Amino acid sequence: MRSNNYLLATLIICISIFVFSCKKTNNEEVTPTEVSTLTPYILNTPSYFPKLIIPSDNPLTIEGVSLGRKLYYDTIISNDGRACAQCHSQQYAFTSPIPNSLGHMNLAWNNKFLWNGLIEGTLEDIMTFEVTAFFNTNVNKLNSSSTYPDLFKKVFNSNSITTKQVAYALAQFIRTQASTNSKFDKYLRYETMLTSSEISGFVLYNTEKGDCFHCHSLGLFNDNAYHNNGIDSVFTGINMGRYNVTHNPNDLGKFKTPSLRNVELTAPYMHDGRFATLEDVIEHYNSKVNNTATLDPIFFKPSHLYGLQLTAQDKIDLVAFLKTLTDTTFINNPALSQP
Amino acid sequence: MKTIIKLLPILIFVTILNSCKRDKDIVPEKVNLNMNVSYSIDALPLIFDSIMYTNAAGNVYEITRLEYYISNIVLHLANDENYVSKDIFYINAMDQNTNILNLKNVPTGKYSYITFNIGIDSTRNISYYLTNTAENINMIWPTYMGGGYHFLKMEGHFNYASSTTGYAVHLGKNSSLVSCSINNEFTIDQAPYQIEMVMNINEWYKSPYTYNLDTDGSFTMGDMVAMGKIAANGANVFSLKNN
Repeated sequence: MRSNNYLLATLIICISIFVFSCKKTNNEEVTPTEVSTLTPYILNTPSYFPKLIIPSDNPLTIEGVSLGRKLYYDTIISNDGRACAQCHSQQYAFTSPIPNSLGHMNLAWNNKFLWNGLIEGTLEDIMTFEVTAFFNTNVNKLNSSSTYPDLFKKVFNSNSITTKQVAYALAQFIRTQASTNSKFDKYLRYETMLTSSEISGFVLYNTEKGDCFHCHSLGLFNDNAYHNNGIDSVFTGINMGRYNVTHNPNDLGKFKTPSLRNVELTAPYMHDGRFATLEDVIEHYNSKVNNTATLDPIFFKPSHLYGLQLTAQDKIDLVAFLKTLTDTTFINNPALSQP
Repeated sequence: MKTIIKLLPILIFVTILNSCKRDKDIVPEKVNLNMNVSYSIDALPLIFDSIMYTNAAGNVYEITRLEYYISNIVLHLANDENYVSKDIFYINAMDQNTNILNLKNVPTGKYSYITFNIGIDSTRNISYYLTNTAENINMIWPTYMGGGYHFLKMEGHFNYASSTTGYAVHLGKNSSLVSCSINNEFTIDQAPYQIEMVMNINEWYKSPYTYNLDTDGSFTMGDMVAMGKIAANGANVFSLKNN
């Protein structure tokens, strides 16, 4: 009996040692984050989009997005009566008919911003640039307003509004400007059919003949990269493009590939708005590409040396396909309109 | 019996002492290995968009873009116990970070050769199979032309008649999968654990087929003969540095 007790005691001790002896690697206590009253905002990413990246210091919340939306439409962020929404109007997929703002759509999945890529990084980076360098926002006006201090305090938990917070709130709203419900998206989800002309246009777009896809990749319909697409034979001023940022002669005439989503609504086209219609743009690629030292190699295909050689019907089909990228849900989305 | 009972705690204790897996039991045998990729054109360094290089066919060319995948890396141990990686690495020659291929838990020892693919094998060469990074999405090979991913995008300009023209050597589709082999012995035995691989870009145009951008085709996509030659030449593009 005594030896049984001895055995039992020993076993208990040994088991205790065993249980506590192995060093665990994942039991470190997580410092509890401050209990927050903010509500997470869930942004869905289509399966054919790149992964969504949200910086850890600016989580997407209903309250943050709402504040960003209010700022987006408010002239208080400028000193000359402008608001973001003046050059980025919802009915034009957040572009403007006045040359030539890039559309605010699906920027949550981009990391290069502005036509010449002056800012690369996150939406927080580009919005910091817009707030400080472009608008030169006077935060005193916000701090002394009757509505903003409470809203900022709720989102950022601080008593004084900073330009960083303005930028971060705007970044949150712009992150939600997602265009993912065009006819083409519905086609990809097997919810609708394309017409035979639209299908023909898609095949042209997505094969070597039309060869749009190498730069305007399916999904975002851009490739988040810079190219010279042959619109100029000499380069001066803003037409120097990416060169104006890098001062590298190899970047002369290169611009960020614009997304073709909602392209029906985003005229005029190119960085300076030189083309009024989609037909003009297609005709450029069809017959008017300028050969310069930095012209993207893709334009030199032997069968394309004298342009794409599209027939009149090809051009009609291509435009028909491009119009399937129009997202009426997006341009009518009440969550993105002026509050 | 009593003796056994008295000895039992000691036995249990010893068993416990040996039961906890300790890091130092593993580390000496398995290491994280970096395969670092760099580029040359025969004896010259790769400088994008500027230096004009000459290939075996006599084409004078420069390089604007070089993106590709490496997969199915196998390090062949001298004693036939191979290290097999299932990772698929996207590499952009312009982006240094993508040129460091990290292999986990590689046994130290003497290896006789390395094999791998440039591209993605047919079981995984399916559009949207890879994590949807912007890079992977841009590498997708359109469904209408077979689907999957571009294995290689190598683009630039070359002298043509009295001016320059562009070229785009693209590989895709399962038949263009490149099987590479580096037949150099090497030893992984001391930190930093890394091996240096060099892609000699001129090898894409050299052997077994002398590939002339002018006559064999400056754009390979859609041209199965051209892609076949480039894919065959790709077997020899990599070597180990200083070996």
